[in-house]
Amino acid sequence: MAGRNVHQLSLARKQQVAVIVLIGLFVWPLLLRGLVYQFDVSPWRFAGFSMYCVPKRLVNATLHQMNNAPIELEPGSTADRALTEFGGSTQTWGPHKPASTLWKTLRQEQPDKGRLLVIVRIWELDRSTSRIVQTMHRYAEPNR
Amino acid sequence: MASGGTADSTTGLSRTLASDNWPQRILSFASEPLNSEQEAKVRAFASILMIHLSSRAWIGALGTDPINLRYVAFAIPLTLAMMAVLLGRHVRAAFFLATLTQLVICITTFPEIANHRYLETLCIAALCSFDLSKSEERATLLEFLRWSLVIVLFHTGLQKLMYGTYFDGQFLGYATATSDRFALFFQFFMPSEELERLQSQVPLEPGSGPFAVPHLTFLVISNAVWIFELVVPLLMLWSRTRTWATIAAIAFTLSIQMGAHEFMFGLLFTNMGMLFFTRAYNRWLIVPLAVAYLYLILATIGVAPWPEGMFIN
Repeated sequence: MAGRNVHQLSLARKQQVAVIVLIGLFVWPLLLRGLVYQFDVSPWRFAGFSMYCVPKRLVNATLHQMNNAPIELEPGSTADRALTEFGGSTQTWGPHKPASTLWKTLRQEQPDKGRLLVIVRIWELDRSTSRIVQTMHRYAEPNR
Repeated sequence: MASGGTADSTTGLSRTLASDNWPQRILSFASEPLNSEQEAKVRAFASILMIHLSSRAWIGALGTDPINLRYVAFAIPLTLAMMAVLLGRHVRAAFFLATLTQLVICITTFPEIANHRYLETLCIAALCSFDLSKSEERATLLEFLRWSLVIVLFHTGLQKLMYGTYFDGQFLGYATATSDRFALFFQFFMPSEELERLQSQVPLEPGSGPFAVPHLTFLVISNAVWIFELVVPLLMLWSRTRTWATIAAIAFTLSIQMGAHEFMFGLLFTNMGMLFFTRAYNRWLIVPLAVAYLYLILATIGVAPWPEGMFIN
């Protein structure tokens, strides 16, 4: 049994493991701060203990044709849910998350449209001005 | 560990000095004199933690419509483990089962998972890893759990310092503007015109703000938050200030978490914080906290009264 094996470790070895875990617990949030800075991942997630440091981002993902003309999706449809889910994952993982998994689902509901474009608008609190700023990220479907 | 109720005069410091074991030296900063209360303290901590884990899973299962069957599948083993721990039967197996279930929860719900879920998992994994029948292992477990809480609390302050949104009150200003529960509290610490200005920024749009609040009382509170979170964990390590620092930390965190409606983290923090007292005061909390958790479950299913719009998290 795994539990029994753990208890067979000497106390000194358990203390070593305990301190290594504690060092990890201390260092990881600092590393995550770097990831937030570099890749815009959410400071609210990933055991960084930085909740309530910045407001959660507000994310809105919409579907367009390449000329920016919006495409309405049926609310609650598979494509609509996939788009909302992608927006949510952008909130967590940051805007650098590729949209590659999204195209197949969207294409199934929009078989007749040309190349598709997903626009993600992110609203967040800008620390220097203390105001809400918007950033926009465009994800174009690969050439078919 | 002295058994049979007699206190051992060996202190954490003397254990440190007697040891050339570097991990023990580090852990001993959070130590206390070995005493007859430690066993009761650890067992009470384990009981409360198991009630916490089980309740949290049931709230996750019953808090949605329809019932979240995945969380029901988590709640059943956690409840069985809780009952085993409370009855004192097959305790090691119960800790192992609970650790396994928590790991499955973490993996299957990653990354949309609250940070305190990781802390809970760390706590139960620690209980699973140490032999609670041995005094030295219990002492090491206590040191580990205390250090864990100190690091987490310290980081909440350090991160606020690094993000810099508390210096001019902009995070709390934003929260006051967009959240009724923050407005309810902070309305007493700013002029009514300022509160109106903040709340008039909603609905938000690009350019909304500024959310910084140029009002002295509000700024003092905003900056006191991160300073407190940085300083108090250090005072919780120092034996001379430990008791008062712990009381302050528990009172502070509970009030903030209750204000933010993060009940589960507040209760988890309280359970961990009680480990800093030399006496096993936490044994008196088992029944009241069990009642509190039961109430939260009943409120989740609509049987017990609960303020409308307030979520249980």
